[in-house]
Amino acid sequence: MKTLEVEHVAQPAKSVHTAPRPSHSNLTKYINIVRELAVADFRLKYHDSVLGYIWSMLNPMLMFAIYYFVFTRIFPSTIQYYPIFLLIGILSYAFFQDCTFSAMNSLSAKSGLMKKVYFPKSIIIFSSTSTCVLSYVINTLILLLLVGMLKGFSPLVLLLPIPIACLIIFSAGVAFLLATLYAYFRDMGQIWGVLVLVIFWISPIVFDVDKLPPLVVTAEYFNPLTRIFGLLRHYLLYDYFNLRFLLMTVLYSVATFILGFFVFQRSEKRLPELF
Amino acid sequence: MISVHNVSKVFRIPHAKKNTLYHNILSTLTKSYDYESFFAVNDVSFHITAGEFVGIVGRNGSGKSTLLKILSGIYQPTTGDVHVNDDLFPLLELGVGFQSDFTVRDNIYLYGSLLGFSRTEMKCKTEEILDFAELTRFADARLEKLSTGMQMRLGFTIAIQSVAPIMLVDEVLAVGDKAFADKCKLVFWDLKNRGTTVLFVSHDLESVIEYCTRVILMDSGHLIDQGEPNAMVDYYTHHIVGQ
Repeated sequence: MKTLEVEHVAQPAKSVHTAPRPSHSNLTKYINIVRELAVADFRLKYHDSVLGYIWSMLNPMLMFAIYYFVFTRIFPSTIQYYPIFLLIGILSYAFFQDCTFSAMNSLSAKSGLMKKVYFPKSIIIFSSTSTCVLSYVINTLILLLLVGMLKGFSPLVLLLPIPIACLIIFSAGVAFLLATLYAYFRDMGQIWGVLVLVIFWISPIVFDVDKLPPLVVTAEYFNPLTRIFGLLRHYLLYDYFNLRFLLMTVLYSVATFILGFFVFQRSEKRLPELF
Repeated sequence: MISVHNVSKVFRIPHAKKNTLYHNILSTLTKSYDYESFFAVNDVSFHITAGEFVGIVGRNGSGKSTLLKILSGIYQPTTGDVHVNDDLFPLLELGVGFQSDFTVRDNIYLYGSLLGFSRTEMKCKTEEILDFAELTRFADARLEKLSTGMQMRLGFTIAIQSVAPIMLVDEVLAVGDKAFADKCKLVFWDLKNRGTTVLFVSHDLESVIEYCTRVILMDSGHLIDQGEPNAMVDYYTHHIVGQ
């Protein structure tokens, strides 16, 4: 046996038609995987067509129509620019919902892949989040167009990428937490379906926090979504800036992300066995 | 190159389904935590040097595939250490890792990225891959619409694009018809000539003897013996299968 080993070590590893070794660092490789997954999922979601995009917007648009009707005709809201106020809330909430559900879905859709090849499992969550970000960006551009037509912009609009980034980071953090729970408890989807509805009604989407009792307002500001929606509306509608509020929101979002990512990483190595 | 020291892998197989919160709460309340511990791999040690072509032979359920999954980092060993000191690519259960709702082309790109190729590099390779797998006509079809044979061919063709110095190959010669099998054989000889280290799991004993320089014999998670291919295959057919 020993002689056999020696014999084969001696053979030089040469071949005329050897393919070039991929010459990238691991990070580049991982970014490439995220991109391939995200782009293919995005095309799948919209079937490569504008119609597919419109189709995907039906749900948030219907929600918008219903709440708009209820809160202008039945219980008229006193909020200024109510349609835009409502649209900001609904689109951002739709992203949060989309991002968290698709994290769980893609973990189970990619279970075959992770049983076959080793790669960091966080790639799956990063790619599902990227897919949702792509559609959120398109929605936001349409929203900006509407704001431009109905109201016009203040210079504060330049700060808009910060709350958008907060929303993405926060949602990704929650997505990591949920994906971890989903790996152990496969009924997490149903449970989250209920919780996400509770989150809809405790976050200021159809109402604003300032009319609530002071104690509730204090409690509301522990909800990162309340803060993020607040910032979006400050910069798009009310031309209001508060540095402390902004920094706290960034802190909340980053903390959620770190927590979610850390929890996910702890069970990362066990994931292929759980599916 | 690859050293495996006293590696064991224990799987817990619960008696009742227990992958939902509901079932977990239920089993806590009824105090039923029954499960079977099962040693898929039991205290296995071996060493493989660069350039070896090593076959692993054993009956179904003897722990061959679990061992390869541990080596590739997909599963964590329960006890023991694994050291692999070079790039490694596993070629396990062809086609299982495909995304069936993606198109053939998207699957090629995805696998390319898993192998470490960029999109530009893959653009050049795609036609070649489609040609080898005889799937050029179906490049933009969704993978799930393809027959099993087609998917297997694609799986094999993409996987052999890997130029990793270590390859783990699990039961892939059973793929496709005679013509395709012949192509595969050429690829295997090429791997061998290139000096790629290969760990090869197969039930096709003829090809084990044809390619391997050493054979590891496994049964019920244990490493029974290792050594010269003819002797090991002979031992396997007479003492393990014949039991």
